[in-house]
Amino acid sequence: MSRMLTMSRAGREALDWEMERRDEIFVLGEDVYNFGGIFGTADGFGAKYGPERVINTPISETGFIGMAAGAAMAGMHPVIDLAYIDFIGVCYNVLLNTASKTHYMSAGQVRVPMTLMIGTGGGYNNAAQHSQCLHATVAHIPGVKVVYPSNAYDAKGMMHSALRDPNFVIYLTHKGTAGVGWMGTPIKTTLSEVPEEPYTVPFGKIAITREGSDITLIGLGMSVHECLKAADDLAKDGISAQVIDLRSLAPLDRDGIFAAVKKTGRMIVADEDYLSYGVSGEVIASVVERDPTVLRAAPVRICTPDIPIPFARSMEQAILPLAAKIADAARKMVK
Amino acid sequence: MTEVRVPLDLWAEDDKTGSIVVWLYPDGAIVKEGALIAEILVEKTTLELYAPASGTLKINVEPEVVIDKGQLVATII
Repeated sequence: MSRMLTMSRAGREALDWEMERRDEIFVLGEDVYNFGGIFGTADGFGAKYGPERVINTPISETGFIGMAAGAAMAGMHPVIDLAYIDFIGVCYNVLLNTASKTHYMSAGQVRVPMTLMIGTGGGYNNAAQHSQCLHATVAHIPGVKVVYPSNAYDAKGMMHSALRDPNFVIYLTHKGTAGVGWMGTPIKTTLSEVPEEPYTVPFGKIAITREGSDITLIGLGMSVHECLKAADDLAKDGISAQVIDLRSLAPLDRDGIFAAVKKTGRMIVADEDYLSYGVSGEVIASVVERDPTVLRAAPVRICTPDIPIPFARSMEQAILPLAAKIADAARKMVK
Repeated sequence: MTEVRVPLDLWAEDDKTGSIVVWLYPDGAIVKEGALIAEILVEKTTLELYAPASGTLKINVEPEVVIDKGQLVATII
C-alpha cells in the first residue's frame, strides 16, 4: 500500500535512520532542539537524541558553520540547518575556503563530511531578504556538491546520500516544496510514495519527470512543479512537453540534459534564481557548447529578473517564473 | 467501523483550532493501525494524526478546513 510523504517528512526519516545508527552525526542550527529546524527535519530529535546531538545555536551563522567544519575534519558529521539562503553571506569564508577546499589542499588526507541544509525561494510574500534562491551562488564553488530535491522520494534518497558522502554537501529545499504546514497545502507533485526502508538517490543525474516530444522544459526545485503545470496546460493545445528535474547542480548532469534536449530540439529553462549569471545559462551552455544544431529554436530562460524581490503579492507573482509564463514561451517556440 | 477523531490532547490550548495539512493516504486506501495518516497544523506547529485501527480509510474532512479537537475527520471501515 502506498504511503505518501511530504519532502520534509521524507528527509527527516532519512536523517533519523542515520542518526540512530551513527553517533558521529549531530544536528545544529537555530531552533533545532525544540522546533526541529525550519522544515521540521529534526522534529522531535531534541527529545530523542538530547542536547549533545541536537544543538541550538545562537543567531551567529559565521560561528556555527565554522564550528561544524572543524567538527567534520575531526571525524564528526555535522548536519546544519541554515534556515534561509539569504543569510549565506556570513558563512561564505567557510564555504569558499574551508569546507570546500580542505580535502583537496590536504592531498585527500582530511575530509569534511558535513551536510548543510538550506531553504530557498519565495512566492509567499516574505520580501527581498527572505525570498531569494541564490542556488547558483553556492553551485559556483568548486569542491562542494549541491543537490536540490523537488519531491519526497528524492528528498529521502538524497538525504541518505548526503549523510554517507565523505565530503561537503549542500542540500537545498525550496520552501514552497517542503510540504510544511505553515507554507499552506503541499503541492501534490512534491508528495511521493516513499519506501520505509533506506535507499540512496545518486547525485549528478537528472530525472525525466514527464515524457514529451515537442519541447523540453527544465526546472529545479520549485520550478519543476511550475513546468509540470505548464506541461498540463500545453497538453490541452496538443503540445507534448517533456519535463526535466535537474536534482543536482554540482555535479550537473550535462550528458542527461543534452540527451533530453536533443530528443525534442527545443528548450526552456525555468529557474526562480536571478536571470543573470545563473544555472539557467549554464544549462543552456551544456547543450549549445556540445552541438547547437540539435536546437530547432533559440533557447529561452524564464527566471526572476535581476531586481530585489518585491514584498507585494501582486508584484512578486508578476516576476516569478510561473507556469503561465513558461507555457506562453513554449507556445511561441513551438509555433 | 472506527471513528478517527482529532485527539483531545493533540494540543494544549482549548481556544485554538487547527487544519489538516495533508492526508498521507488517499481516500479508500488500506491503512494499518498506528500508521501516520495525516498532518495537522496548529498555528506554526505541525502535529501528527495516527490511524486508531486497521482498515479502509474514508476521509470526511479535506485539508485547509478549520477543525477542532475531538472532531470526526475520517472513519476506518
